[in-house]
Amino acid sequence: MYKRQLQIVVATSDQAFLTPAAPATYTVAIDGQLTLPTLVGTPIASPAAIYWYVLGALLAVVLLGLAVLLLVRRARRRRRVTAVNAELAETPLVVTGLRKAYKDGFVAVEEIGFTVERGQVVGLLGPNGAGKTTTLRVLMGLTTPTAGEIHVFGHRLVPGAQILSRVGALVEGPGFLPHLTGHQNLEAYWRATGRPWEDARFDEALEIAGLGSSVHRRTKNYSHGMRQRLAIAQAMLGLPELLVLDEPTDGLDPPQIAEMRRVLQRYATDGRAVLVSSHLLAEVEQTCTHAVVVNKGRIVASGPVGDIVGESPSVTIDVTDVPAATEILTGLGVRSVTPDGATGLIVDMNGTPRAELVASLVRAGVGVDRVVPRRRLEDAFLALVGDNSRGSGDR
Amino acid sequence: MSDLASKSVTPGRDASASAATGYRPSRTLPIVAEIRRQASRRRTQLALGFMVLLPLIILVAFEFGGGNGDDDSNGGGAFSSLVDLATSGGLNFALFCLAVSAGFLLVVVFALFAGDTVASEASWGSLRYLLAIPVPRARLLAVKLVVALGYAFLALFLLAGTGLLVGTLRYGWHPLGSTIAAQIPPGQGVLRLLGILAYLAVILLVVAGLAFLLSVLTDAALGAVGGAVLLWILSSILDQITALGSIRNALPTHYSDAWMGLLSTPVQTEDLAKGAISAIIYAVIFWGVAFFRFTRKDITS
Repeated sequence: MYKRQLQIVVATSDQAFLTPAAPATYTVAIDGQLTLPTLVGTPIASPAAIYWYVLGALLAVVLLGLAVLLLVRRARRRRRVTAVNAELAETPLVVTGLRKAYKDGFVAVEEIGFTVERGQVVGLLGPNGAGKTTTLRVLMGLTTPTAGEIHVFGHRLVPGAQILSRVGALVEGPGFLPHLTGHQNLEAYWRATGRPWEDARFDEALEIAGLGSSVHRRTKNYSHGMRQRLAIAQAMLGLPELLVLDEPTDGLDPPQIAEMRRVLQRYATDGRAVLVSSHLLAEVEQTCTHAVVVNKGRIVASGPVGDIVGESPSVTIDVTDVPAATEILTGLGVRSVTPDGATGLIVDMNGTPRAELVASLVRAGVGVDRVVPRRRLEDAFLALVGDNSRGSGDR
Repeated sequence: MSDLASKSVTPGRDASASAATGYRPSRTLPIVAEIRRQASRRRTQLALGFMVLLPLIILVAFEFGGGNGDDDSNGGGAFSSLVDLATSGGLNFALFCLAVSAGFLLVVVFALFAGDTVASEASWGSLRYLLAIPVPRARLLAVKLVVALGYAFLALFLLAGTGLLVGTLRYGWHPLGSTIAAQIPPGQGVLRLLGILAYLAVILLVVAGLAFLLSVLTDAALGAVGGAVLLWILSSILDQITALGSIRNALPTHYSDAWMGLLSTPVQTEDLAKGAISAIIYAVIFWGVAFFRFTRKDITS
């Protein structure tokens, strides 16, 4: 602690030998009370105050600007919501002329258009890099398309459009808060939707995830497949009318894939629809009712899986003597004979029965190891991807 | 597996509904939900915990340090006077805790809360699911910003509060002393301390703004936090180069020590106002760019 002290020093000084000659002693005493001179400070007029006014004005401007911005946004949002295409109101998803080109000139999606009706499980099939994921990203409002439109239940889909709340999605793998358990993650997600708690249907979603007691472990300790299943469950929370799943079976083992297939097929009943992307032919064939085949950013084929995957007029034959067989087959009036590998031939039959084909070969002494009817989808794929063994849509 | 078909909703009930039942854009990602999201994170708990721990560590250090035998810190200036007076009372102890943290620790804490919030969601991949709910992008940013600032202010308040509490318990409730002014009575001292807290909160908005902008631009949380701290340090260094002249006045760190004006009698507020103006302009610019960018960009994470 401080004690203020006041010291009064009285001193004498020699003033040019003017002091009296005789020695003398002086005694000094305070006369009565010692008073200190006091002064009331007057603040110097400084420009400081003006800065406070500037600060106040600045805050007012910022708040005003914020208010104007909010009002403009609200008005714009209200206008956007009202734009409904009544003709498409019953259709879960209509994509028309979608195109996405990046600034560096890369065109991820050239032109894609397809429709998903109620009750359908549509497979978006294509090699890696075909533009599937880009399409789904646009569909989730994460990416703005360069051209084209998407309508979900008749509502134009733009980033952040409200209609997205009727769509459940798994795009480009799961995304969870690693420090929370699987169950907490689903709860945190649903809390962020701001929708009523009972609409979430946690029990059904958790049953689909099939994680058992692991659902109470932190997701950072999950395997790839467990995360994937939890992500599918998250997409199904609230049972959205349109479910969009990007490579849903990635990381799942065969029994789980089979189970997922059944879940998706069951999900699409009762007026709901599912859009699944995959690069696996068999996957789409077994799960989907309809397929859309994409390559290099374009639609190659689309329609019911039965039509697309049905048998094609061509057949693959493995023979012991390729040149001889080629000669014989050409004589039979087939449309084309293309070598396939060391011993294989792809024959476009042009209506000739398979039995006659084999009989002619055997009669001529050419051994037949294998006759495999080809399917249209494979043909389509081969024609598109070519014989390039990379088999990918890299451009 | 459950029989979804039998228990399901009837989607046909209102086919033209513009949104799912119960969905309202203004109700998505409630503030409380975001507070819980962040509260469950280890880094939030650690940062806030450290704010409580630091005054205790300083107290223990003073106790072990013994008397005032070592005068090596007496380099002069306002800061060393704070060191000398730190043990003279609770207010002075709290002030000391703030003074030692203001230069770097609080900068890191503000950068951490503001810089980590969006970038970490992007790196986990959960950002795209929030946007697909859909949480409107501007709302997502606004909620994240408000909650991040809330946590940062809480950290600041915890530091000062713990310092005041611990200091008062140990050194008593005495006037706020400083060597550059008369003693300030405790009641007014608390007001001054609150003023200092408010000023620090405002000046650190620059860090919060910069970190938040970087958080929107990058998917790497560390990059956002580190980048903001780095630029703050750079600005501090430039501020010490007197050759730069009046350019230095425009640096965001130039007025970062202006809170010391609140310790003098009468208070010197000119620099406080200038500092607040500069900080608010910077923060508004950074946040503005962040909102502009985030509401338009393609989310690629």
